[in-house]
Order: sequence, then structure tokens, then C-alpha cells
Amino acid sequence: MRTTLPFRLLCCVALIGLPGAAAAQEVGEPWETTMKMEMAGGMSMPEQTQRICKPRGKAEEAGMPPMDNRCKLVESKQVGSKHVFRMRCEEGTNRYTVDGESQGNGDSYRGKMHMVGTMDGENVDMVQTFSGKKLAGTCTIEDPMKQYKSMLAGECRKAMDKMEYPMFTMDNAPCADQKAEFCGKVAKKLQELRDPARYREEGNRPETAEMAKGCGQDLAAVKREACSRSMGAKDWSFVASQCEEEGKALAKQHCEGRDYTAAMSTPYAPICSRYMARPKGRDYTAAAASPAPAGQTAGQTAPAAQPPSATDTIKKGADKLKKFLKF
Amino acid sequence: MQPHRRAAARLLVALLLLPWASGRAADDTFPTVAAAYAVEADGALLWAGNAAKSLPPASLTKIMTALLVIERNQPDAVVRVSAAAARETGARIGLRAGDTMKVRDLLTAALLRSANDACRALADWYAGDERRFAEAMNARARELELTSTRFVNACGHDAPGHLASALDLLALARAALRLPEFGRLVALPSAHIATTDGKRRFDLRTTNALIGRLDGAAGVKSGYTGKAGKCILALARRGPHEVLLVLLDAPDRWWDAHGLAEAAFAHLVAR
Repeated sequence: MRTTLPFRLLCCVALIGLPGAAAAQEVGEPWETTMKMEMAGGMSMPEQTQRICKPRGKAEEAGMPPMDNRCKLVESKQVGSKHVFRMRCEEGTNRYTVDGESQGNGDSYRGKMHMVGTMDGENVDMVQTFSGKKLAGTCTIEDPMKQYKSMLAGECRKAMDKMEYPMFTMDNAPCADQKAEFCGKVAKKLQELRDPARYREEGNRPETAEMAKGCGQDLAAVKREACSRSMGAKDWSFVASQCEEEGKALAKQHCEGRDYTAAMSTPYAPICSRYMARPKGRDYTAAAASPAPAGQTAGQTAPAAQPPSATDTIKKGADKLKKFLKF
Repeated sequence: MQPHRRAAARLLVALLLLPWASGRAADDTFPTVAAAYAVEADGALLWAGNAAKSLPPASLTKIMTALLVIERNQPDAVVRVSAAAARETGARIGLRAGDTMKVRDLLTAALLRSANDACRALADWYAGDERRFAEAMNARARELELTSTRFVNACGHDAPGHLASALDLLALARAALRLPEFGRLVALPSAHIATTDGKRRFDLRTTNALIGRLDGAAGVKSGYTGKAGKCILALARRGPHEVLLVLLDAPDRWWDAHGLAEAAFAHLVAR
């Protein structure tokens, strides 16, 4: 889910500009378009294919340099069947170059744009490839805003199904008007996570924490309940990995002072392993470069690792792409 | 993990690996666990302290004994227990002079129970006497380039000049573990053996307390003498990862070996 989320968001944002400014109910041409984006460093947007209704005779505009006052066209020429161009863009401290090429006719087009430079103090290197082909028949160009809203509603439905929380909880979230419904689903999910088996599966995922935070719900209370249940069920493996307070008390009672063979032969072995198997000297968890915080026994599920916020990451990626594509 | 995070993680790993790539020694992260120790994770030395120092290896010596015997490849050969073997002290299974037992069963006793009587019987069978067996051990050690290691006896008794380093012992264990029979025997939690006439039977349980208690524990050998202290050479495998570690003179060898193995696996997973 986390991998596709930014792209769904970007797709959503990108929809704003796609239909073009056409008069409502105008007869147009149906086109199938594809777009793919790759950023150096691994981030990429899977190929997106959609059918849109374009104004008649406007196909040749596709793939042309997206000019505005930030960018200056420094080169534009025809090389064989290709139109090749270069732009230099400046906006504040952002500086980047866009090299593009496109070719096409009235029935199809394809091309790519390569952007290299700096944006918000970071190096940016990304390639967008795009193509389109005209389909048979005609279509009706609807009000772009109406079309956008319809597409957005579809994206929000998908996001709701997949619990893609930034779509509902981030600042200016595209699906903010459905936040209450989304948070209701989150509350239900957190209720399920009170079961230790379910908590073990999902409780420590960063997105679970972010989801709860975004909806103002208390994941720590959920964990306390899961710990309480695991104590009742004598699920010492869960206690060892998740419940520090209870685990320490059990370790003191059942592990401390016992030799390894005896302690590790009892049902409390997971607790003893967690609290007694600590090589002397510097705490090993620090040396292990583990995502677990100090004191966390290796091999156990790390509670709520702290990677960068997914929302921040998505926003950052979206901002970069939006700047590049001028959404 | 998102792709750009994965890239950042890769960069972090690259930075973490830099000290190894530049040939720097492994960190002595746990200076108090043992007089000497070394931890290898997926074949790379991760943490070590006094790892090149020659120290009494106690019954980790039997890894070399087993290596030589297994390399001779006569598991079904019948060994008559010598008087010297029957007189062996320390850990033993109670063999009597004149008992006959197959090489495979003596190996099992020497590796699982650290039985000195079985170990000595093998040495005497292999070389005629212990002195000549020690010469064979040292010759094999030279082949393996164990430069900080010298054996004086077959089974690990304290003796002047009977020494090995933690790093040499890891290398020795790696060589032995390449032999499937050695890997099979040191991973056994228990075994049953008997003299060839079937009159005397022995139920053996491993002296390696990590087997069955440390997730993925797969051998190798424990040892203890007054001078060597408590020693352990341990192997554990989890999925694609493997940790091999040795502790010499480690007062809390089981807890610490367990903890070091967990730490090493955590390191591998975090990579």
C-alpha cells in the first residue's frame, strides 16, 4: 500500500490538468494516454493509462514544452520526425533543465522529458515518458471540473478501501471531506488490534501509528489492551516483544538469577531471552544498527520504528513532480 | 519500504560497511563478554575483541580432532578403546579399555558430550598415540593457516603451549562445517550410541545449551577447563542469514552467546 500511495496521490493531482480547457458538452476525440515517471534514486511512478476526451485536432499539442514564466525555451528544433527542445527553468533558488522530445501525428504521439537540477536544495533527476493514441469514435468533453470531481471520487473510493491515510488526513488532503468515514474505519481497525495476534501483525507498522495519529486516536491504549490480553493468555512471546513493563516484571520473577539452561527451558523463555541475553558492555542494540530502540531485543518486532513520515515523504515527492509538471 | 527510503537505507548500509571495505578491524563492541571473542555475520567479521590472542581453547580443540577423523572418511571403522583413552579425565561417557565402537559413534560422543575418552580413543586409532595425533593436528592447522594455534593434546586439556585464537577457531569451524557429517553431528540435540557388541548403550545429550533454546542454533561446540574458562563456538542460521561466534573464557557464555547471536541477526536484518 505504501508503495503505490504517492502515485495514487500524484495521479489524483495530475487529473486536474488532463482534460484541458474545453467548452462543456463539446464533441471530442477519445484518446488513450499513458504516462510513466521515474526519479533517480528509485522512486518511480508505474505507468498510468487512462482514457480521456480531447478536443478535436489538439493532439499535436501533446508533448509540447509546458511553458510558463518559470521556464525559458532555449532550444527547439525538428530532428527527423522528432521535435526536440530544451528549457531552462528558474524559480527562487530552484534551477533545472528540461530536455524533451516528442513525435506524433493526428492519431498518436509519444515522447519523453528529462529534468535535471536542484529543487528545494535537493538534486532532482527524473524522466517522464508519455504516449497517446486516438481511439475510434467520438466522445463528449465534459466540464473539466466535473470530470475531475468524478475521477477524484473514484480515487477516494480506492483510497478508502486501501486505507491510504494521507488522502484523508494530510493537510489539504484531497479526500478530506470523507475523513470522518475514514477515521471510523481506523477506529474499527484499532479495535481489532487489541487482539495480540492482530497487533503483532500490524501494530508496529509506521502507517498504523500515522493513521491513528491522523485520526486523533490512541494507539498506545490499544497496545496496553493487547498487553493485558496477552498476559491473561500467557502469550509470553508477545509480552516479551511488546510489553516492556510487564516483561521486566516477569523477567525479574522468572529469569533473574537462574542459569541459562533452566531459564530457557521454562515457558518464560521469550521473556528471559529478551531481558537476560544482553552481552555485557555497550548495549548491543545500539551496535546492531537495528531500527529497534535501545533495550529492544534483537529478533523481536520493533515497536513503532521511526522512518520519515509517509505523509511528509508523499507531499515532498508530489511537490517536486507538481513543480516539474506544472500541475 | 518505499523505493526512496530503500535507497536511503542502502546508502546507510554502504556507510556502515565502509569500515570493513577499508580493511579496518571489527569493532570491539562487547569488551567484557569474554577474554577473547569474535562474531561473524554472513561470513563477515562483525565484532571482535582480543580475537588474535592465543588462549587455551578447552574442548573447542575437538573440532580439529573431528575434522581430521571425518576427513579420513572411515565412519564405520571399529575402534578398540585404549587403556589411555579409558583413563581420560574430565567429561567422559565411561568407556572401558577394550570396548569397541564405530568411529561414527565415538565422534558423536566426542562432539555432543565432549567426551574425552571417546576423543582420545579416536586420536589413538588415527595416529597410534596422542603425540603423533597432535602433530597431525598441527600440520592441518598449518594448512588452514591457523597461525595463532598450536595443539599439544587431542581433546583440549590445559597444557603449556596448547593454545588457539578466536579468529583461528572460527576459521577451523568453517573448515569443519564444510564437512556435512560434522555439521550433522554438532547440530544434534541428543543421540544414542552403543558398543559394537551392543552390550553397552549410551544416551547422549548435547553440551551445547544453545541447541533448542536459541532460535536457529545449529551447533557447534562448548568447552571448559580451569585455565580456559567457559568457552563456546556457536553457529545459528535464520533464513538466508548465518552467524558464527566464538567466546573464550566467557563467564556468562550462554546468555552472552545468545545475546550476541540475536544482535548479529538484528544487524543483518537492519542492513
